[in-house]
Amino acid sequence: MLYIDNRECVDCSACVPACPVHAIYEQSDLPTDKADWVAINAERSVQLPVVSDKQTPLPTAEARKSELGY
Amino acid sequence: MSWGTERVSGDIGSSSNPLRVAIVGSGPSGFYAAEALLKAPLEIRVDMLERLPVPFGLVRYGVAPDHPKLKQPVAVFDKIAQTPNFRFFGNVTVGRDISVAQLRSTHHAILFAYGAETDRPLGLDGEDLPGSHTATEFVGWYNGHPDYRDRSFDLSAEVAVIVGQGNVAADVARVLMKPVDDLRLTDISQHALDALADSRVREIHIVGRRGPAQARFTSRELRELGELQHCVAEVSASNLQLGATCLEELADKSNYVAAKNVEIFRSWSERRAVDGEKRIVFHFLKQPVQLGGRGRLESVTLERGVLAGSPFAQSAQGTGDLDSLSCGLLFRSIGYRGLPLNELPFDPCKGVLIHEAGRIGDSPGLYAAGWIKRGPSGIIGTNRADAVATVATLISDLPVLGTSAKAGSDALCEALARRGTRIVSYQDWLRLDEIEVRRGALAGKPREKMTRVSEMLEALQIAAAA
Repeated sequence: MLYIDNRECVDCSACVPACPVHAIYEQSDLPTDKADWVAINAERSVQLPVVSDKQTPLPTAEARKSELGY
Repeated sequence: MSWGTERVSGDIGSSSNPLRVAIVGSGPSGFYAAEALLKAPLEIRVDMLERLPVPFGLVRYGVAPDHPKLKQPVAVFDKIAQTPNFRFFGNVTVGRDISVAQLRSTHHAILFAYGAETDRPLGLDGEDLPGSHTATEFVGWYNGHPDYRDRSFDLSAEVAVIVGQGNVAADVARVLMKPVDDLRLTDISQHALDALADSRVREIHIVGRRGPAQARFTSRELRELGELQHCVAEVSASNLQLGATCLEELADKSNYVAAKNVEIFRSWSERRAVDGEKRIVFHFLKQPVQLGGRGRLESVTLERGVLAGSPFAQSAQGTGDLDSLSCGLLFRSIGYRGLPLNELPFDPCKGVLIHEAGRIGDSPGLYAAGWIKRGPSGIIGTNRADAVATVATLISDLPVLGTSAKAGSDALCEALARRGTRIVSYQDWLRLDEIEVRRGALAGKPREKMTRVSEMLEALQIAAAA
């Protein structure tokens, strides 16, 4: 999966509607049961290479999308 | 041995024939388009033309002064502007200093990203009464835009009305209701601070013709209106009894912004301002039909409406039920509007250039991105995907953009020099930027913007002579 580096993020919110399963939140909108993800993103984003091209969705993406109601 | 001056034109995008693109407009769309072009695996030269001496469009002049984090995209634009193969031409008005026809001769392609600089009028009697303004001019004024420097706003009225329920309406409300001391350390223009210090506005009515589920705020902006000091946001509970179609719209998972907004409105339905507190009152299903007053704005007549139509296509139908609201100040905030340019195909109803996948007209070479293409919707980042899509169309047109090399920025400079236009380069902007930051520091502000073009050009002259 992909992670966001909070230090680089300029809060332009372009990514929020782009995620097909609404997995991206502005911090002020993050549900309380997902609060742990702030630290997870900070940790993982610096460990991984920067993505600059569109990635191929997982083969299970469409099924998961319907499962989530999108 | 002598080298001939004749060069055989290589394919467009090769080093002997780089793709030369002129971008008109230096806001987010223009910069995101430049970024996408410069990333393409081709030899390319991007020339960006901007009518003001300073770049960045609405990021500089639209984003509210108390939202400094939203201006951070400037750092991204700055990086793009300082890459080789990019050149900034500030203080150059396309359509006046240089024509679209001239640009077609100097560049292979022109990408229009000049945004939407005017506003949608209400089209009502009394709209021009003193006290009736547009959000566009108020925002431009407090953000130091040279076009609005000399506007004046009588803020002695206690009651103001804002027509429209989007982020611009929220910005206007916030700037009017925030304690002036909270604005003193932002980059808001000094002349606006002086006027706001004398403001007597205590009650703002934000009027929308549709319901809470159709309000165009983004959640953060809406939430902020309920968090202002000594000010209460009010929504009447009756407005929150939603019909079946609205509920259907809210149940759609991709419509999460509306769902969040309704949640926020619901959290305010028990609150009422007490004595001494300021109020922001939300009105729904109300449309202004007349502005009244003798010599100045004194009231606005509102017509109650009902929603009709299918999900995501509901419109408000007037019922004939009228109500009057006394007010001394009104801002219409129902959308920015684009203007036509030269002979480019233009839709006057929507205020946009007519395009297909970002390509304007029938002959390739003309493109559009951003608000002048899509209309004034979305936030800063929305323009990124939009610009990327237009650039993809442009690149796919390469085989039909002609084969001859173009003279690009050299020819542009020559043509502008003949007119005596003072081109402001990106390095010039950096000098102005430095001056603004230095001036701001004296008052504890991130910057004090220069608010007149003459001031900017003079400062550059002084800097050059030093």
